[in-house]
Amino acid sequence: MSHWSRLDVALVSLALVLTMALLGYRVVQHQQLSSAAQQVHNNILDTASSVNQLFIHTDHYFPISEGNTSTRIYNDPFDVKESTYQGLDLKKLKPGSNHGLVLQLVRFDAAEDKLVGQHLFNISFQDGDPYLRIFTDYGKNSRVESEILHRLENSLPPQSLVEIDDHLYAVDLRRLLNVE
Amino acid sequence: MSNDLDHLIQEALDEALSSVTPLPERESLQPASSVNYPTSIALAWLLLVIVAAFLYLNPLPAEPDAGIRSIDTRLGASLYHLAYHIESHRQETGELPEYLEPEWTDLDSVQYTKTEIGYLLRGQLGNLDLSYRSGDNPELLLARRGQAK
Repeated sequence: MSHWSRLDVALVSLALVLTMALLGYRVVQHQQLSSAAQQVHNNILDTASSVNQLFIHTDHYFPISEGNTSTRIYNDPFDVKESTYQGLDLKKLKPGSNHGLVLQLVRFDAAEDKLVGQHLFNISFQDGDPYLRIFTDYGKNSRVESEILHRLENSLPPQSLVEIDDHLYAVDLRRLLNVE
Repeated sequence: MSNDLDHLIQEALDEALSSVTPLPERESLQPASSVNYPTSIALAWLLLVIVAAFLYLNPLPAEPDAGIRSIDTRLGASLYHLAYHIESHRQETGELPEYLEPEWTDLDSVQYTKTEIGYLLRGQLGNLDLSYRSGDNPELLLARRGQAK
């Protein structure tokens, strides 16, 4: 039986090293995307927890006070008024905290949210119910955004994340209110 | 006398030569550059090709399914995103941005014009174009479906 020559060892080693490098790169990609999806997942749960806290203490999903009754979207940079929602960290809704995705806490309004109302959530939405809408822009990060949303669909309770339209998703926060 | 000496020398030489082990044939040497296990090498490189092909065919992150994306909805959502960035900048700094950051949009063409009362955005995607003026209802950008002109 002949021995392994240096050329044998070199060629086999090179092939195995390249294979391991490719697999290692895939593992790193997978972990980065899992980490990104987990961050968005946590931000969604934190938002749900804030809504839950307000509901426990006030029996309302949204603050009802003078000057705040008309606020429908948190965070809405188009609104010149400062919107306050006790316990809600608006930074967790911004694109910078969600890998480009825009998250907004929305008070459901049947007249304004026709697309959301048409979708089959477990329970039909009524005026005043909370949901979280998610926008993608399918720009340079489109593949990352899609992958994060795909992972969110698997990690959140069934039928809580629904694709409403191109670029627009909605999370039924009522399904997450008891999730801490 | 000289014949005896010659004979002795010849015998000693023959005896010495007979004790020398003959050198191996050149073909039986194992040079460092020879390939003794071509099957193993082929299998290792085949494994590399299979793994590379699998990773290429199953990219991560996966390519989004662009086939179902309607272009007018994409244009409206992209302009909303762009206006969102502009308004966020204004909210944080108190001023409208002087120019659009490249990472704010991926539209084919977009015009940003500061006006006396705000700004005007005009975006283009393919053959479609759409405008948004500051102060307009941004929700209308999101409610578009087959409305682009």
